[in-house]
Amino acid sequence: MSEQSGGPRTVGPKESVAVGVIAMGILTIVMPWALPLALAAWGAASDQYLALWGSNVLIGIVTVLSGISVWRLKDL
Amino acid sequence: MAASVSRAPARIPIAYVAVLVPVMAALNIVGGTINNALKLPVFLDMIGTMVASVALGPWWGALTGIITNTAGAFTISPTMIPFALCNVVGALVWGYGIRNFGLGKSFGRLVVVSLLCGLFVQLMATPIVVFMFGGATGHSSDALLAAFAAAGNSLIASSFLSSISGSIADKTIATFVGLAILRALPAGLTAGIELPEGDMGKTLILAVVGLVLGILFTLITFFVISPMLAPAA
Repeated sequence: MSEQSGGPRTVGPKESVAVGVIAMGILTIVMPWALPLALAAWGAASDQYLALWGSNVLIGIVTVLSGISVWRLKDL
Repeated sequence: MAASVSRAPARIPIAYVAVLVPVMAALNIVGGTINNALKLPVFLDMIGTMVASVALGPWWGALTGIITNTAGAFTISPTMIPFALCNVVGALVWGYGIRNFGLGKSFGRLVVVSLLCGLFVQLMATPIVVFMFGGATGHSSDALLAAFAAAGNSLIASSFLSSISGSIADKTIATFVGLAILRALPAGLTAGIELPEGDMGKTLILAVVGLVLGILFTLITFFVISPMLAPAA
């Protein structure tokens, strides 16, 4: 995000990409909440999906942090 | 069609983004709620995504889509969460297609971007419907999917065929209604983006034509394609 002298704060392509990464991270975090429906559709539930659930949330958090890092990168 | 360099401004005031993204996500949720209540064969939850991806850029549209489906999971149905990927694909097709490839220049090109969007979104949706939900998501196209499957098609083919026309209809409606919304936004937001020339009156006519086209796709699915493929009683 750039602060121009006296001008409005603006966002550009770098922030756009960062937002894309953050959004995909958020999606990864919330995806397991759809899992009970999927399990119902398959007609079977498994404890192993709890491990997948936790991993998904962790990967999502890391992805969100990656997006924040991209946002905070200084332009070269 | 050769890629052209976007003449849209590289930097956008953050105030526009802060206002447009949540408002467009809310518009998507309202559309999705209406569609869910009326059990229409379309989706109506990507109009705001189209506006955000064209006005701000494809990845801002993707963010709008993910906010829509995440919030919609609480207000409409939890099945919406995985379909956020469809909203992302739609945002990328509209954003890059119209901003970078000039697919918003004329009526014909807007129809092309609608067709492409409908196709790519359906290609994304089919594996989600089949592998995550076993073919049934509670959408009105489930009955059509059952008819296609009973006619001897595989589950993947049935899922794709049952929703492709609804998807194209939905994206056509979203493209043209979104175009009317884009015209109503401050000129600074759409500066440099190639959209059909003309005043608001012409844009509204285009929006109505797009709506009619979308409804036609839906009617053809239900009254022509579906009876042809339904198994004989």
